[in-house]
Amino acid sequence: MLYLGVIVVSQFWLPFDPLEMETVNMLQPPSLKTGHLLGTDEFGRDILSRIMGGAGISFLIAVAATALGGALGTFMGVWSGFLGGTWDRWIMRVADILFSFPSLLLAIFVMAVLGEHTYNVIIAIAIGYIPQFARISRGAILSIKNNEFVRASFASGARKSYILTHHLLPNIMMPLIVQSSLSLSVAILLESALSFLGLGVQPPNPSWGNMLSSSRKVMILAPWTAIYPGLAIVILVLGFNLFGDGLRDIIDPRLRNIR
Amino acid sequence: MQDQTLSNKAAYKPGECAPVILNVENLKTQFKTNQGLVKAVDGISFSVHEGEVFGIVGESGSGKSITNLSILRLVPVPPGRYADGHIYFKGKDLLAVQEDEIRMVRGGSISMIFQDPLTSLNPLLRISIQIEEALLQHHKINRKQARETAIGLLRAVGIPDAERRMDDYPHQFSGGMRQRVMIAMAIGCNPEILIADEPTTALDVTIQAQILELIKSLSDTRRMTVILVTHDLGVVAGTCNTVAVMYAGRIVEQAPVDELFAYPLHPYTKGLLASVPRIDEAKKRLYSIPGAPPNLIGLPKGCAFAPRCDKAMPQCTRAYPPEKCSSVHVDGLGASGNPGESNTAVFDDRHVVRCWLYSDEKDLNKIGSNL
Amino acid sequence: MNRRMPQLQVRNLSVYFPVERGIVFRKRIGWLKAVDDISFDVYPGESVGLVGESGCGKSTTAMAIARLQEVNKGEIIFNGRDLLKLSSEELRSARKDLQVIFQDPYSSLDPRMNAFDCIAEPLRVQALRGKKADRQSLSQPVIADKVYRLMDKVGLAKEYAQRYPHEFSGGQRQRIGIARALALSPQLVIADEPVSALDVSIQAQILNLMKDLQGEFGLTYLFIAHNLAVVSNFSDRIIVMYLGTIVEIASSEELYGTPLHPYTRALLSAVPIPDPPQERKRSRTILKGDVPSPLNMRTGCPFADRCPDAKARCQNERPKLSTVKGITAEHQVACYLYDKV
Repeated sequence: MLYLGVIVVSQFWLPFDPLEMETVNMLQPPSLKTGHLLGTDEFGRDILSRIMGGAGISFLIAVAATALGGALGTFMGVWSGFLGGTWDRWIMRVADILFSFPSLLLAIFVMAVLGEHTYNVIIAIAIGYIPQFARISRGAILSIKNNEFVRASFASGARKSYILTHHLLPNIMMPLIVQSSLSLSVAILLESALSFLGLGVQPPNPSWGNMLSSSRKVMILAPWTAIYPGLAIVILVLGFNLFGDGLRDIIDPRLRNIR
Repeated sequence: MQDQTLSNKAAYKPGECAPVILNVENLKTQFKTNQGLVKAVDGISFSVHEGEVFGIVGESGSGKSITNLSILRLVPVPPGRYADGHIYFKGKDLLAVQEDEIRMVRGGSISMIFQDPLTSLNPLLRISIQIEEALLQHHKINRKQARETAIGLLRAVGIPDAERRMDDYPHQFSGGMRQRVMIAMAIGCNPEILIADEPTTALDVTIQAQILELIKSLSDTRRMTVILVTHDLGVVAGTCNTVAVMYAGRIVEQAPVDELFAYPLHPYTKGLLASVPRIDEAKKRLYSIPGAPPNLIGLPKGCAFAPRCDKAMPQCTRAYPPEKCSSVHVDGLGASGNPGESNTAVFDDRHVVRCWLYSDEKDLNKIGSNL
Repeated sequence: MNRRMPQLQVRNLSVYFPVERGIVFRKRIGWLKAVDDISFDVYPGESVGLVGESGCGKSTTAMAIARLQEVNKGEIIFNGRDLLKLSSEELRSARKDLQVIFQDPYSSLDPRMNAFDCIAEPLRVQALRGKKADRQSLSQPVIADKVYRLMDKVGLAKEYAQRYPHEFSGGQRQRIGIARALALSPQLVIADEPVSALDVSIQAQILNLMKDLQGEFGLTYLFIAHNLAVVSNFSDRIIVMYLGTIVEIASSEELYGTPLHPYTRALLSAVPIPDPPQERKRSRTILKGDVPSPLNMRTGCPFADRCPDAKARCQNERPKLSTVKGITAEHQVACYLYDKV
């Protein structure tokens, strides 16, 4: 399990490797292994390099979207859980409304509104994540906010914001971290889907999604133009998922053993 | 108030000894954990007589609850294991019999009630189903008969309006009522032994008094033996006939109840009695036993209480003291407190203690030769 | 004792919890009167015990006084100021003098903070609010010095300061909790069932520790517990509560010697005494029925339907706490049996 977590780590390397793309304008021919290990696409660009370049962008988008959505969602969820009452009800209602849209449709909608810039992709995906993070952080907050150490802190005269940052957040980190790693993998998929539909990263910038999309036409003739980007997506998603699993296992037994 | 505990025991001739119904011999129950081997119960032996209310007192980690579970073989076998010993009940060793046999014993001849009635009852099933299920397991009766028996049981434990309340769910009962339901389930099959594991710890004190009265009266009317496990010395004083004190998985002292409270021998028992506040005493500083209960992993050789004992001697850390039978100081086991009045059955009149203060050099040498 | 000014005066305190029904839109269908119009005084330097069974409102009262629980009606006058009328800034400042020891040693400490931080937290929190001058006076070395001295006072070795709560035993955690409560040098300490979760032998240690600290720092204790034996051993005076009302107040000797209220009598007779011959001789007043719930109580004395001496009047009007002729002036009881009329 953890080994495959290492695979994910190895993905980190890719963006730092040569960001070469759009090499020699060797049109069309999907020449196999003549310096181009994975072949070239319909514009003669090296697929391997494009995959690597795309990795960087996909990764960036995934992390940024998760971070943004996570931060906003957690912020909402944490205050909602902590304050309770009417705040809680209304914040959760907003979250539920967002939640009721399938994330892809929501992302498409946002992109349509905002335009097709790479950064907008991040926003689009992030919005979809808000409700999930809100829910999880709210649940985590609810389960610990009645613990006596919270009351003890109040008794010393602490403000609510102090208690949130010093006591509650550190204690809810675990489910959030796990959710984050899972979200990362979904983000990759979403980004790929958006790009596939032409709404994400625009050509000529490489993205696994738009690579897949543009390969549709030549798939039968040159299958590698589709296989390799697709494979890359699968491996990364799998990697993130396993990473998340591994993370959960590390954090949990450590707490369990110590008891 | 006339002591009702012994009303039916006039069935025995004065001074006659009630027969032994359960005999635990050198029981050792252990748990394997990541940190090491936990010797939860480390070689205890005791006998319980018919009709007796036998109390086991100890703090957390003393092994009292595990002892209970061991009797009914309810300890989950990995990580636990019954390392040694025998539990003789009706001529059979409960630790050695087949699974089917022990299952028939559980709830049938030996019943158990637990501390927390909230979690001991299934919240999703009506009470009627839960009681009937227990009855049908052990008796060959049909559903209708089971229901009637169940209603009768609820009445016997003092639940008002039993017939209607049969169909309620556990959460509709209060804590005290739930405990009564548990007792009803436990006595449904007329067990010979009722094991009560901290039955009143989670209850308010006025309810506790009710439940203890109930247990005592049931013990009388049904000639039922009770093994009562608790940490509350007051409960023991008011309910039990004989008391065993456990510490770190071993019995350190055992005596008839009057004897134990009046003449405690083991330093731990003395310390325990001195550290319990009493409402009938003027305010005073409580004696506190220094230190804390030990970690059951890697217990040292010798007496586990030695590090906290103010009378520790060199031999205390070298070897575990042997059992010594002391003479009983309180005359006659007359429950009404009048010495010499033995109109009651005699249970166990020995006062047993395991402490180097009461053993001499000869025993040390005997053990020394075995080391 | 009467001549002195009380440090804490509770007047007509009421805490009601709304009972609501409905999922989307909630409607209030009744009130749960956890605390219903109680009044009592606490004098400096004494230990007052608050006892009762579950649902009697003692914990709610304690939390209300500590201002950790919202209050519907009443006044809580501490050192001359009504805590309920203070602004949040003033309240934060007042908290220095009123601290709490909590019940559960397992949940009252943040599992992510080590012992040092747990004890230092009140100091740091108060420093955050203060002016620049205050802030300086609570710099790290000053805090460290205080924390270590507190640890020493409660019997925790300095070496344990960096350990986390899960590495301590229940008794040790409670000591950390006590050290934390004393960090701000309070005058009044509310102890909410501080020993209920501990083993008997550790219980005695902690009770003795609390007594010693009281002598050394001149503390006043409000001690909440359901174990009457523990409370009567620890406290000078005892307040007995039942279903949100006070039924009797007396010194611990007098409460045991001459209990007046029928509930007090029943409570006392139910407490087991570790003395077999005495236990057998006791005449027990076993109450019928269960402790009722404080939901939607009717008028009249809350104990009326379980009281062996109940009269018609008891059902209609709630008796007021008052003194009784022939008994010491500090002994108050709320029962018509002793009505002078």
